Amino acid sequence: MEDSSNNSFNYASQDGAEIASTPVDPRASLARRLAIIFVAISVVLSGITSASLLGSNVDDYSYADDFGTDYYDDSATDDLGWDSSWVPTEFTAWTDDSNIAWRWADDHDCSDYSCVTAEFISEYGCPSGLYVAVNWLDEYDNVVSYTNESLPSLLAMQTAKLRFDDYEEIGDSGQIAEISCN
Amino acid sequence: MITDHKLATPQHRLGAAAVDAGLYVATLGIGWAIWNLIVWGRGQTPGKQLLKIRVYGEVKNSPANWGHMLVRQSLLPGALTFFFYIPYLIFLIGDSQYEFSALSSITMLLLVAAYVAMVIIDIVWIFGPRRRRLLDYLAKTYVVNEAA
Repeated sequence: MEDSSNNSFNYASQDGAEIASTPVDPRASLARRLAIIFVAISVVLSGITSASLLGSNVDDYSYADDFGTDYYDDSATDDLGWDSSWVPTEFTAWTDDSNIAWRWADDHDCSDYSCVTAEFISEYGCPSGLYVAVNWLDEYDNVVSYTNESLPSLLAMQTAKLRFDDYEEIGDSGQIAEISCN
Repeated sequence: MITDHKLATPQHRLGAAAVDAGLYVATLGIGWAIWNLIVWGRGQTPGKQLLKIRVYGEVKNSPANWGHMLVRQSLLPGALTFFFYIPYLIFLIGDSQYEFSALSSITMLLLVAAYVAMVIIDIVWIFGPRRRRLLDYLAKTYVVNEAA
């Protein structure tokens, strides 16, 4: 029995006999219930938080490759460790797909609108099609519009030359934003 | 009477906890952890040893052994707070790959609130008539003052 007068703990006994008779303490069962409730709440909240966190996975958005913003800028990409030995001279391997390379074309004829022209080549081809999107940038490099072009297919090591027209005439420069070779 | 020591007062126990915290910081956790592993076998932590208080097992009414202390000091708190740390681990391991949305921020705050509530209950119960923390009840222990 607990002696409330001197706070000593006396679990025993009379006549020297040890009696492990702990008084019933309502807090003992309350503690277990609280622990179970706390763990249950933690599981639910932790699960929701974790799922929400995992769902917030920031996608590697295919930003326009940072080749510059001039119509004719064909700066080299970073070396990503891919085998780019197949890439023809003056072409640059696409950062998101080592099977495709591109370059700005020097000769282009923009008849009605401002435009850019680029050439694309694929090591293994794009049997299910080639899709290219160009972002149009203003003088402050803000993306203000885009144009896309596609081909139904492209053979291996065949060159495709695509022209992208700025129909709205609002871009100061163009930037390859996406190349998808399927 | 199996133990004729007085129960440790709340101030005494909080003092021991403060000493433990101070030793943890002073020894960068390492010395404190090693010290713990040594004195657990006597039902103590470094702070409890310095302040002459000891953990007793409720069932045998004898000083808690090393295994009992492991359960009381590590396994039970670990089990109770395990899920609390999972979102933090995801966030840290993700290395900025994940970010808190409005929903995850709210649920994380609720999780912290639940954790704080649990800690408050745990501490407040020391001031009860039996001077046992919530964790004492779960581990079936109580703490006595051997200096008295």
